[in-house]
Amino acid sequence: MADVPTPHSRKLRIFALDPSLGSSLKTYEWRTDTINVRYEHGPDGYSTLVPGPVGEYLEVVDVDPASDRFYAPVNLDDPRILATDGLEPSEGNPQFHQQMVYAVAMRTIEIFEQALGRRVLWQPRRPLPNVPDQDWVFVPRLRLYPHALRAQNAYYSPDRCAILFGYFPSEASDDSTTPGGTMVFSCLSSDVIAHEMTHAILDGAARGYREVSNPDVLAFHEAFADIVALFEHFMYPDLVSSEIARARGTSAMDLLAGLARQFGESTQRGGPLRDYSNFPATVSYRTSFEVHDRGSILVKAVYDAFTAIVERRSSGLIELATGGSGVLRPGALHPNLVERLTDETMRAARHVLRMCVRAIDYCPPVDIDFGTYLRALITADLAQVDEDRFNYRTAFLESFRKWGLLPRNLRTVSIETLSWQQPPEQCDDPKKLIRSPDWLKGLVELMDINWLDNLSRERVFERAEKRRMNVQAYLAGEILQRPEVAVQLGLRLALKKYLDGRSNGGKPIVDPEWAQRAAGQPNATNFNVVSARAAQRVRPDGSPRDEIVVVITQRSPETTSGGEPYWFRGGVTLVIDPRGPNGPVILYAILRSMNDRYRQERERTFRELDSADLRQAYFGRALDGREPFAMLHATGAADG
Amino acid sequence: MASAAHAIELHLYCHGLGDCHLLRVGSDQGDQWIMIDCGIHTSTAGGADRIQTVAEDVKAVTGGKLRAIVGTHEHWDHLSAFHPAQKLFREADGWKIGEIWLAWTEDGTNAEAGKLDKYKVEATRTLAVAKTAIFRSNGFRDLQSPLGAVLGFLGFNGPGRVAMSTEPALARAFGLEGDRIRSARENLKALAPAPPCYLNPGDVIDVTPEVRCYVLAPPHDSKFNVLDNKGLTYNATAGEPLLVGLQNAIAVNYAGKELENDPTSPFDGDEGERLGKAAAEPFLLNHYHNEPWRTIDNDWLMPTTELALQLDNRTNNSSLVLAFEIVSSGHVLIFAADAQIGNWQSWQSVVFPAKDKRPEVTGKDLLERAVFYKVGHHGSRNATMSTGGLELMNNLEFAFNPTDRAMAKKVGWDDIPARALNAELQRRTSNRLIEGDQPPALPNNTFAAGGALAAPVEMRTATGSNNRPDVKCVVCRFA
Repeated sequence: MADVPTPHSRKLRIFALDPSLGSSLKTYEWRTDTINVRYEHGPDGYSTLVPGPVGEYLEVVDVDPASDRFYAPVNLDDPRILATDGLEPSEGNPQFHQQMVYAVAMRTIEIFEQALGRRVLWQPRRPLPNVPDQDWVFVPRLRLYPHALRAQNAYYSPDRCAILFGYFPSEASDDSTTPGGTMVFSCLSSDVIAHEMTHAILDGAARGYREVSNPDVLAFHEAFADIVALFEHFMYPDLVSSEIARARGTSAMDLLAGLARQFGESTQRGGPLRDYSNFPATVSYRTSFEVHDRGSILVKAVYDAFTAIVERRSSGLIELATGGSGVLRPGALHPNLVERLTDETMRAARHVLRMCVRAIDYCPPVDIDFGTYLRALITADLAQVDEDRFNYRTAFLESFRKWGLLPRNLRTVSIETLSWQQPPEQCDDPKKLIRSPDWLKGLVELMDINWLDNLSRERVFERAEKRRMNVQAYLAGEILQRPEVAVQLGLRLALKKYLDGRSNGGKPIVDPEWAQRAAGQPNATNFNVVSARAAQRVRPDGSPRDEIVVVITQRSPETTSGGEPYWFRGGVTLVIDPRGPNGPVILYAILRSMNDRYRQERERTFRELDSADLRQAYFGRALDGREPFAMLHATGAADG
Repeated sequence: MASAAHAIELHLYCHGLGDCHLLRVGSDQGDQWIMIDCGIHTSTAGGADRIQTVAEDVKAVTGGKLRAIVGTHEHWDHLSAFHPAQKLFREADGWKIGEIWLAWTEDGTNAEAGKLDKYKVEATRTLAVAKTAIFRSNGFRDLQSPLGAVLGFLGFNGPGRVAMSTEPALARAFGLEGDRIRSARENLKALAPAPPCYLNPGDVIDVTPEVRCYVLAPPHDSKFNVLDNKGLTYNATAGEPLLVGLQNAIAVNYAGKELENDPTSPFDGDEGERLGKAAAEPFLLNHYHNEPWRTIDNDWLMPTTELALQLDNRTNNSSLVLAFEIVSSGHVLIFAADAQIGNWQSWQSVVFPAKDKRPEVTGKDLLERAVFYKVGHHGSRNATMSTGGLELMNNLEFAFNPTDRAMAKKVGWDDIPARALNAELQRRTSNRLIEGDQPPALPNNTFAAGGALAAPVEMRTATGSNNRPDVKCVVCRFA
């Protein structure tokens, strides 16, 4: 009996563009697409997906409490469904909605796993409320609720490790009281699914990005999610090729204009590109502080870099096709040309997306801002790709410059200066980190990474937790003996451990347990090793690049002059090469130092500004802790 | 008796989070008194008593004779005193009210206004019921307080336990609390013998030959977010998906409404099973009920906040905005009620055509000549537009903000009053900003006469009768 190889992926059909908006017949043929979704299987090669669908990472549960309804779970392994690449895309069939949500969500997970080189883990939970120092409990699956509420909204709920998708009748036309065919489902918008999934994945990978310490933080979260959603679109081949075939003109802008317009109209929130053709002149980094406006600048900057890259990639093809004149014949583009252009565009999109996601590992643990993200982008790319044939990095530099997003404290801006600098081999100043500090070898050995392991995610999580705590204990010991290590890592010495709440007078409360343990040790410094993980990346030439990423943070209780309490946070992201020629080396130490007075003052000033939003003013405190993303994504119904 | 040295005298009451402003304009026929609003937010302890003190003081000062009462918009903190239960301003008690001035948006016979009225009632009632649902649910407890505070603008107080087990009961419940503010408004309309004057932007009222009143807002154009006109149907609520979705969900969940009759249900026919009855369904047991910390049984109530904000927004934007002009000096006093950005944006394009001796005037012009500004919405940032709004007021000499930051904080509102706005107002008025909850101890050089201020600003106290609290009052005179 011949052995049947285990499939790598299964095919599932989705709506490539939001079906609810009155699309014309012209665009109908590429509204749907068939995508490849990872085939989840056991060691015997057979599918482990159960009805829901419920897999290893996701769990689709289709309850609709507002309608007091529950919709039967779809079984994607039903032979009849397998035979037709999944259910036919249909707005009126809840099982198709379940299929689509699963498919696009899995795609987003795959993007992150490939880019970050490690398995996606969801933000774990502490089951008992208000009890500090509990162990984190692994949450295996992210829950997806396709019809959770009646609202023009969809959001990731960190507390419940779930994404809630809303649905909503679109504005009624001027006749019947029961509008037909105008129900808008956010779970059928691949944009929205990818966007929310990104929030969930990023939350699991980098929790510190929820602390609003400067005007860029929330905007970044939104922009990053939009960037992933946007570039995920470029992975639908039918969509891209149809639009290119239809394009007039030869510049990348022209080729992509149609797509961008579609994406811009695509979600109820106005799409990731908002007003593509006329990006409002009033929106600028210097003056726009509203979260979505500000975020859209970052998205536009990345998108402009992308179009420049596509331009470069496709210029050769256009030259060939036009015999050097650059002017295409009138009429439809030759199908071969369309195919090649599509290829280049999709490849560029893949690369840019990967760059954007990888950059997360080269960002500081808290207090992200756009200029810092640019530096992370450039560094991440430099680390991964030696030969930048198409000048991706320059494209980014120029685009970010155009939009005014360059880091503020660089005197000269170039690819070299933008990249984070590797710590020096030697340094006289004990407060500065060097490339191979003597505690590094012990730390890497302690982490005991087996690079060939192929563990279940739960085991990965358990190991990661154990490593975290070992590294924490190890570093705490090092700091006690040599306090300068703390300063090298951007940590403040003798910072106590405080409880979450404040006393009635608003004063911070030292954690009594910690105080007891630290008694008699004036240098005892509280800090948190947020993660210590292995990342296995593959370079374009196929060679492996293994890195260890250690993230350390600290927080100190502060109060604004208006009496509002907040935490001032800082720390470091360490990117370590475990296989340097003479042992492990620190490649980059991306700091947000707790000892940086300037940063502290800047943050205090920021926090003392007004909230720009009536929603924030009325409901901010009630919902901030619980559903930060819900407020972010609610429509502009209440603005103005 | 008004002296010739000033044309308008203002009495600005500092009773808490609420508006009540008295204008006195002298004329040959005797003083003309105009009262703009009289109300206090429900969350204020002893609010009814405070308003009583204010009303009694108004009677004492005016002798009970008012040329007009202005009701700027349908919010409790502007109209609470007019609720029939308060028994104030009645002819039987010696009051003589000449006219009632309202915005065109309060005129039930106007088609546009009728739609807004209907929306306001439906939304208010839905919120009331939703609040009870939230109260009953285990989640979202922390939503109750801020939601309650927003509802306070609509005249709600207390947890309001509403019976809603069947559709008729629900309908009645919908009628209960939601009507308080409407009752206040309707009662106000009846306080004068003549029918109310419904004012439109572009109207000008000659209060006296010396003082004119220009109407700047609310705008008719729907793009200024008074009413969302995307759904222009006879049934106003059909164009309001947020409202209808919530209403139907409440009915389905609490009053046994059949899903087939719910136009906002997502699927046709018999898709799906009843969630309530499907508790034993194995899939749900294994993937939903097994992890109660992730259930979403009450999340459909979240859009309540959206609805509350939408209602608040639209009502605020329906504010009647008046600019009183002293003809001889050209000085203008702006009373912007709670107008928000959408409303403000429309002022620029208002033109008051020339008539008789009156030259043509624009909204922009009036802003540029403003010497007094009654700060909108208790100092929230959204209610004072900067570019094209406050930034045009380069002659501002005095500003008054009827706010109560302690009360705002108590119900969980950050940022009322907004700090940056405060700072800007202080700057523009050379530190002549008075906030209702921090009335200054005068005499004080900051509030000496000068410019448009014809006399030093004074503070007096309105004494409450029968153990009611006293209320401070700011008195200023403009020439």
